[in-house]
Amino acid sequence: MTTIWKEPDGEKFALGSIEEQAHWQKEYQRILRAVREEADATRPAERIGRDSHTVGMALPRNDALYKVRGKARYAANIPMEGALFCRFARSTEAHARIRGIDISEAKAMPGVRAILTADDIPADQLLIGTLTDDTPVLAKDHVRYSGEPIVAIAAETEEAAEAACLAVEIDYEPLPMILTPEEALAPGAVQLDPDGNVIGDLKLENGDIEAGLRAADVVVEGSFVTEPVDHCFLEPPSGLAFVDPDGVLTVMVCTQYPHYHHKQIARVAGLPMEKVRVVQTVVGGAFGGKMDNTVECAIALLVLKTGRPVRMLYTREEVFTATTKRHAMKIRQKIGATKDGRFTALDVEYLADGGAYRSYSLVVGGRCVIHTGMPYRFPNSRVHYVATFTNYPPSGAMRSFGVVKVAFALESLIDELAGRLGMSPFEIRRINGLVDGDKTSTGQVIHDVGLLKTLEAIEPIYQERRKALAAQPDDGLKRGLGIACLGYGIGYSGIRNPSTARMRVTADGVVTACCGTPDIGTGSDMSLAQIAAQSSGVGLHRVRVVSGDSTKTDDSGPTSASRTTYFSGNAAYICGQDFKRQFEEAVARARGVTAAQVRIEDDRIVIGNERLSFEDACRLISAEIEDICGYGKFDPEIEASILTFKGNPYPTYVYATHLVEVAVDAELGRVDVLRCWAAHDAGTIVNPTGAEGQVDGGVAMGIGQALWEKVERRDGVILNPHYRDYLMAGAKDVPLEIKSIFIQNHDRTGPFGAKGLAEVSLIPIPAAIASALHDAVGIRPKRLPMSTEYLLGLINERARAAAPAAKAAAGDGHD
Amino acid sequence: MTDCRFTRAASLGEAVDCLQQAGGEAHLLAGGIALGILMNEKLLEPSWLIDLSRLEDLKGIRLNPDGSLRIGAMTTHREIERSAEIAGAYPMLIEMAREIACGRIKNRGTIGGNICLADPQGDPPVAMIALRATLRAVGPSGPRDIAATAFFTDLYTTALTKDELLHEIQVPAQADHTGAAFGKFSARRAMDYSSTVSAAVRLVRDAVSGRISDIGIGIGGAGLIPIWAQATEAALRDNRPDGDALAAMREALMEEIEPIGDDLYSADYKRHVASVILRRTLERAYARAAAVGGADKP
Ligand SMILES: Cc1cc2nc3c(=O)[nH]c(=O)nc-3n(C[C@H](O)[C@H](O)[C@H](O)COP(=O)(O)OP(=O)(O)OC[C@H]3O[C@@H](n4cnc5c(N)ncnc54)[C@H](O)[C@@H]3O)c2cc1C
Repeated sequence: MTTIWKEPDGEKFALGSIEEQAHWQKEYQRILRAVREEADATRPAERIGRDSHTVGMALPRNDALYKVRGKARYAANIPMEGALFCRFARSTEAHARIRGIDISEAKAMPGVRAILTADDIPADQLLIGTLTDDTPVLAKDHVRYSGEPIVAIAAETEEAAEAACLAVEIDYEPLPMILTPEEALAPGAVQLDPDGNVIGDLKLENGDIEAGLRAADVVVEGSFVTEPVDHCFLEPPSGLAFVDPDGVLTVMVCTQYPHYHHKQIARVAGLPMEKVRVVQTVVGGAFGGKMDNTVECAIALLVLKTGRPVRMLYTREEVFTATTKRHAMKIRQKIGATKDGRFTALDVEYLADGGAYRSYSLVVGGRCVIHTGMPYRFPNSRVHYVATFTNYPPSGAMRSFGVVKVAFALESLIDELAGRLGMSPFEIRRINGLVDGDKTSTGQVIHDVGLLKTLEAIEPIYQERRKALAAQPDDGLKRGLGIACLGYGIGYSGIRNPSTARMRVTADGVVTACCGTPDIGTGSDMSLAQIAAQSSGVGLHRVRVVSGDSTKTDDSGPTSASRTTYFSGNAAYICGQDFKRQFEEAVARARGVTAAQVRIEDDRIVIGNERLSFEDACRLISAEIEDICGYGKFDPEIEASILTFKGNPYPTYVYATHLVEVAVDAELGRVDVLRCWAAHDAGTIVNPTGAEGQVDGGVAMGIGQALWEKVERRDGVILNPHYRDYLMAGAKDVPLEIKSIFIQNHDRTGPFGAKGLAEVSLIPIPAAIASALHDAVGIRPKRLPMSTEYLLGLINERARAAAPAAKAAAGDGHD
Repeated sequence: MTDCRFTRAASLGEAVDCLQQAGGEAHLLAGGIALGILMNEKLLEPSWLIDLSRLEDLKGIRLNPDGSLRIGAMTTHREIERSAEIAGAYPMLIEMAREIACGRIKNRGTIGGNICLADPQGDPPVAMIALRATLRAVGPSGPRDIAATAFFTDLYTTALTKDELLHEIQVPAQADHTGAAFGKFSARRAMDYSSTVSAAVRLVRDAVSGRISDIGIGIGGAGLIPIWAQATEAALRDNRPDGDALAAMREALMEEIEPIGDDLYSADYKRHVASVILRRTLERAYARAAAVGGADKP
């Protein structure tokens, strides 16, 4: 008897099935209202979802109910009869030549069904990657980091696979390790990659930096150091692969980019594209960490080798030791300004630790270069970015692609500069902040710039808190306020990255919108449904968004770079218009009237004075309903080479100003973030509920990265591969008051004026905290994380420096 | 994976019998939090688990008429945190329990398991040292009382023999004019168990002179074991907690603790933190002693 393996029934989650959740939504709305004590500006709860005009309405996410009920289908929970379990035998050396691999003992162990090494994969199919195919699916003769997969074993149980991995004997010839970019660049250093040790060396110059520095009345400079950070998605990489009844190798996996894996798997497995399908499962957090190959290729190959389904789930230790990290980076930066606060020069050098393989290092580099100086005018600037290989896990994409560090350095120095000039942190930013019609460092003329509006939104709150703090009774803690801003480009940097959408309708009135970018837990399926509904005029309740299936949608790039609402939203918008036109024409034909006489309006069809329900209209055109296929493609012209950095790298930009309030225990260096206000120009907000969730999450993540998060590394080994010693912010560390302020700055190119949000709410937080620390205790932290011990050191240093000055009755030592 | 025998002990006697039979090869299972972690990380593969969850003898909190307190080894952190008896008589223990981890761990973790684990970061051990509690063990030859100050002998090692288990914790009645407080440092507010430093202080304040006539101090996270800071106690005894006495306290403390530098903090920083936390906790305990006066309990 043969088992037929197919995708289990059921949806990823309740895609677009608003009605099913109506009761719960009412409750949810009530809670939201009660909590915020907001007047009910939205429509009555029972109407929610039946409207087509829902862009801007605070709607509960369509996945939330399934998640809280434990019904969401994560890859590791998908039942599959007869599935084998895969594990990797990983390198225990950070840098070595592999002399030999002995799998004989492992092969003989109970439950072991297949063992895969690099020798089983044709040489020209072995390497995969993102921009460059440089990473072996399994290491061949050379390992470049401790934790690199060498052997993949499929066994009947996880325990059997694990035991067999331990039985694999690998004979290593250790090679000298490269542990820092400085070592990588040293003359005579051992070369890690066939192309040398440099991953990228990027430069951008504008104006005349020396002249700019000469023109400055004040120059401030600093060296900043940041540590590697883990994404801390709660769901580790996991997947399940099998061959379906049609002979299609199906891989169900938690990912940000199913189409990427589709292509990679086809190539690595030597299969035609149509014999592969990648289905995204519910993603338990990604943050840029689920865009590289982890489990995908190995389980696919093992399915082909065994003829059985294969599943894999990383342990937390594997997540820490063998998935991509945020780049450790050193930043040297200098800015100059005139007495009246005008910026004259910006000089920055970045040195980034790219880890063992390229992953998204170049993308991070390109984005950091372009965003250096954002969101301000610097007439003269010089940026130099170098990323090198080291013998640590690859550094890759992570929320903001490095810009959080760019902002930490720049915003900290701007705060210092304002202090030196005796200027308010708002004033200096107002003088230099980008406005409509300004040119960015790549020469792009920008539009719909809401930066100053975000500053305006924050300033009165700042003044009010200033007064409140002055009146605060002494409790031994020192309180401070700090602000930081950001400007961030939406989408890929300088490379075209179109999104598409398709809309169809069934005879019983269910509208399906196939969108190319998957929902990775941000609620984007909900936002896309809102846009598609409003654009086409159909009720939101009937729109099901299908995303994350590489055979049902077009490759529209990954869900990353804050691009889904803008790119896929625009595609959904265009598609909705196309669908509406086709539908109206079909109704017109059926009725023998002209198309101009027919309109879809708020889920009804208006024909002259007559009104038809959407269902009736579908019945009316049932003969040709299958021919209706709305199509939308959004492909803005963008171009900026990574060599010259000239041109328009992004179609639009978002802006924000954050304000944080901290309390410092100056005797211990301990910091609490008490309050946070986040004013964002993200264009029109499609779903405020989702947007607020993004901001809350970004702030929490920012606090963790500012104060505690650090992947501790020594001699090629990661020392804290578990949450016990890797501290991220927990619920008690996040301020009770995080106030999102959306300034609703309509973007002329966005779907209903929307731009995007996701990554950016993280970016200003570390810089804002650093500025608040200066306000509270007069220090200028230049390291991330700002550990209590580091901060205490700065506080003590300042006290020592101030002591003689105080004796001399000089100023207060604040800079 | 090796097979593991599992016994759900029905009586204290059965548990002790099993321990004896196993000859040191069994592990007692209380809340299972520490054991579970060790087993998950494959640092421990027990051959015999003896579950204590059914032993009524090991449960419960009782405030005796003489003012002394009895806490069964299987009492959870949450039960302590919520106990009205303890809140009235020993508020320091409420402070201690509140500071432990998070709800899930408080609901499951037991004070007995915590004390017998003898983790140097543990909070209950230092509280019991400061309170001069007695830990009652039971073995083949019956009960045996061990002073909390003598219980922690080495890293993760206690004075229990391999066929003994912890039955209950007895906290003596507190003298008049006693104040006690618990203080803890952690960089992160949400559950931080890697690099915390804690101090427990119990003191009796002479109503007339304001001097400290009796004092108990336990320090956590500052060495291989929960530390009984005897010399630090001596530096404060018969003194008011100010100027010279605080300087002497600090000096004595620096001699007594031996924090280990780790990836988060250097040993020097932990020393500094321990002295700050101790001083603050002492000040709180002293203020409380003044507030309670003679008739009330701490
Ligand atoms: C994330 C995390 C955070 C934590 N934070 C804190 C914290 O802030 N403060 C703190 O103090 N603790 C903290 N803990 C520790 C936790 O409170 C203890 O691990 C827990 O109390 C152990 O108790 P248990 O009942 O689960 O013991 P178990 O895991 O069941 O047992 C622990 C050990 O004690 C032995 N044992 C158990 N009962 C007895 C007995 N009656 N007689 C003799 N031996 C016995 C067991 O054999 C085992 O060796 C934390 C733990 C975790 C995982």
